[in-house]
Amino acid sequence: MYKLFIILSLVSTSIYAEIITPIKKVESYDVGKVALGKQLFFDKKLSKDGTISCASCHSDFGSDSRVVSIGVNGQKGVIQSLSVFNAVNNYKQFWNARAPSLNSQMDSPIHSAVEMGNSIENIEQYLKSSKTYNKLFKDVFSKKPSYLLLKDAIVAFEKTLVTPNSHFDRFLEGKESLTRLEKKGFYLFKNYGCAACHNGVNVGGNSMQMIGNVVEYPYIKGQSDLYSITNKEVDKNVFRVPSLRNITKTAPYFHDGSVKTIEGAVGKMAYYNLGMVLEDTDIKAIVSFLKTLEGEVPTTWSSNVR
Amino acid sequence: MLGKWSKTFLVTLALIAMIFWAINYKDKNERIQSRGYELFSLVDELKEINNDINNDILKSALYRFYSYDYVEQHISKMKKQIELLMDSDIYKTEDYPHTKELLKEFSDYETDIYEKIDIFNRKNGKVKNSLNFVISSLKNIHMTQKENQELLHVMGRLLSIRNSIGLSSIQSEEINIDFLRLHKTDTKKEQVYINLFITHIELLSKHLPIYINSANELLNVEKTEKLFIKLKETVEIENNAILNKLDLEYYVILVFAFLTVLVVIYYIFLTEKEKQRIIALQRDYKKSVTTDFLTGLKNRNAYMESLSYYKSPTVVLFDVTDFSSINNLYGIEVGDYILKSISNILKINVEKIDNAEIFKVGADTFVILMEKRSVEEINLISSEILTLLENEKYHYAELEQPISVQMQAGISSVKPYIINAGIALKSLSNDYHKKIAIYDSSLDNSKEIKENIAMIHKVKHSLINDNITMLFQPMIDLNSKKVIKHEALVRLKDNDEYISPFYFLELSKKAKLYTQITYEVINKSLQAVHDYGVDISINLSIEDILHKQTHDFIIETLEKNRSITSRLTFELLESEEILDFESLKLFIHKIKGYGCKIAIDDFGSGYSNYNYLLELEVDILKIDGSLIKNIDKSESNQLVVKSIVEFAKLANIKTVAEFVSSKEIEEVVSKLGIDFGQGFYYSMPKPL
Repeated sequence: MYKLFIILSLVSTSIYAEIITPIKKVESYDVGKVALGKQLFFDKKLSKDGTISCASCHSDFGSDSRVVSIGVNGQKGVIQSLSVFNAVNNYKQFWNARAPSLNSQMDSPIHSAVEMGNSIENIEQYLKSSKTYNKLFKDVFSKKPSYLLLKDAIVAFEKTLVTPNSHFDRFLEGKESLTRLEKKGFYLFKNYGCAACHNGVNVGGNSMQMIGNVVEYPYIKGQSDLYSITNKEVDKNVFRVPSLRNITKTAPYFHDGSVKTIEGAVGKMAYYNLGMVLEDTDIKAIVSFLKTLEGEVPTTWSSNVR
Repeated sequence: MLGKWSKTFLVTLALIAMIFWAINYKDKNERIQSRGYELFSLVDELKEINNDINNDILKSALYRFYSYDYVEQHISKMKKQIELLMDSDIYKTEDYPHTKELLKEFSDYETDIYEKIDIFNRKNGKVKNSLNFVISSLKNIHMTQKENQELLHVMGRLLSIRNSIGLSSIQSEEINIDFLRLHKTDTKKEQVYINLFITHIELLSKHLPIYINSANELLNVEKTEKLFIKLKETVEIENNAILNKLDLEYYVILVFAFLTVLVVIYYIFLTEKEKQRIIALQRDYKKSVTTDFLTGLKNRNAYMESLSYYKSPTVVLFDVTDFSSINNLYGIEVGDYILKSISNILKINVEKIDNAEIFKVGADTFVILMEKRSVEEINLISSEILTLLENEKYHYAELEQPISVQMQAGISSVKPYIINAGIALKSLSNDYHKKIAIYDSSLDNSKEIKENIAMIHKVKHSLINDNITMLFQPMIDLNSKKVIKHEALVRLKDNDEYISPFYFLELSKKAKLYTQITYEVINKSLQAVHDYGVDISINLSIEDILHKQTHDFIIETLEKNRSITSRLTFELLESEEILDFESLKLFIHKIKGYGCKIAIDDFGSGYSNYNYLLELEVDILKIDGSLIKNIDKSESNQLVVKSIVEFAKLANIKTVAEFVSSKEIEEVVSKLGIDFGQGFYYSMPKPL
């Protein structure tokens, strides 16, 4: 009888489409616009007191290695910074998915009092008073600088920030093969059910799920979960599934930055969301698989755009 | 009525408008049809995407793993598609209210679906994972036989729920797993495992039915299918409604086009009718211009036109002799009747002649125009017709006796035909027995007329330039052989030539210049008496005497020249008929009062009436030259002259022989007892 269930289980396991898809390279982009976007991304003067740029909280592989980021006037943020890398491939932005696009995402950190804390008027005044920006905007848009064009430029830059050519992507493309351990990790990743939520091109970032699906996870009042938007009890602790791309490079983990190591994160996640207690060997295998998801640092990030 | 150009303009405008409409119609029709196809294909795409989403959900539910990327891609595709629809042409018009309603309904439905998909996704992973965990964990849990059976029951229950995807809705049910809770474990690790196992089963018993129901709800395509069918139907109905409206417009245009064509045809007809009327009018006019109203014969205009068709025309001109007398005698009605009758006869008879036409060219003149033929033939034709016309009994209704009509004909083959025929006719005018005359150039007096005009011109000039001169011919006493007086003879001085009054006096009368000549004659004769102290004899016509102004002029002149009036003799022509004898007598009486003498000129040429010689107290008789010029050879003339002279002597009237041109004549007249002689034998007329 058990055998029957196992067979059933195996059959259902074996039926899956491409659960993870490789990241597509950015083939071409508007160099001028991306360069302008990058300059703006790194410009601290866009913040209220000139201390914080976008990059201030998105520099460690597009993420922030601090548990929470520090905003203007040294204020602490409320949630762990998500990586800007591959953000373009997320179905929505933010932990609670409140922004449907990169463009709308940007408003939040710029205006948030604890992040950059600036107003549209101030930003535009700054841009228009800058000879450099006047020239750059004119070159790119044939217009005077404005907040809308600023967002446009930054989004253009962000769209180039993808990390292709990871070991795993190359495996998917049939160009490289995985080690036994990595293979085992991938198998466990699927078999234990991680892949039920961590799938797609970003290995996550394409659905809303509750942390503590199986075993209840501690709820922190005031956190930016789905509940903070909908006020529905069922939406407590519901977050957008984070991407596992470059996950081994973007510690600390979870919305609360409560785990500092990847192994800890895998074990914790297995317990709360799969209702499992993983053996160390399993964790090791899974981590070795996760490491294969490390991609190339985007060229527009690492080197001069022009 | 509108003008020609306005009408043309309106018709052109209507045609242009129709062409524009037609183009517009075609364009619109195509646009609406293509909009219909577009909407259809958009709806079809919606349906396809919807199927894709359903497919994703189904796969997501059935597969162990299925990337949410796919469903997410399809959802964003769906969103874009709905946006595309919301942005499509139909939102620019009010013509698709139901389609729009249905699209809104679908859009709302989809928004609802997205939320449901989100929830499905949230259940999906955990339910599948828990189920997988539970199944794959079975081998790790060691149970008693009874426990195993219960577990098997639980598992069977869970799997049957799991397998009802796409079948029916599932009631949430409590699955009793107390046996698991009561299960005694050997190790702590095993206990943890059992606890996790329990958690999973509890999770499944709670969430699996919800998950299945949510999947079933998403997979229920019936509602969307219906919606799509309804959407397509609505698009078709609404699109057809617009097309029908457009078709109606098309028929209106068609009717309008038809009407325009009718109007154009109507105007073409009208124009054609008008043209026909004008042609008829022209024909009537031409007829009236070329037809004689009274007789219906062709008139002179027609004759002029016809003339050119004849190679060598001959014209016979018929004239009703003294037609005005008929009119005067019987009245115009009868005259018209005669003309009509003549016309009928001519018409009938001319029709019989080859190449001949009849025209009425004047009030009572008719012309036969024909090709030239022999004189005999023309004469024959003409005289036959004349005979017919004259023999006709012209019975006018109210008159008892038929009216006799005399006619004459003139013929000409020489241009100008009618005028020449007229000249020929005129040559007959004094001879009612001759009926037909053929024109030849000798009949033509046009040269004479020309000369007459020139002569009148000369007379006028002479009066102005004082070229009316007097020549004087002496009168000789046959006894003493002395000149006793001179006869003043008027001449027109033309350069060095003296023109005889024979050539200009009659003309001058016609040209009303005669009176002035008389004045000149009298003035100059009196002047001669003054200048040369001779007796002068002046010729006067009876006309002069009866002419009031001339009469007065003579008396006034005599009054002014009383001293010489006794030296004047006035010669009156015997040949002239005396109409107003009393006036003449009075005049003679008056001038005799001034001592003037009276002579009768050319006596013996006319009705030599001795009686009136006595009544008029004539002093001198001038015997007509025709009696004198051969008197030396003619005994009869001598007898006539002798009787005149005898009478004259008895009446104490002096006699004058004119035309004494030789010694022989002088001897004869002297012997006959004539007192004076005058003639070339003595002297030509000459200036004094």
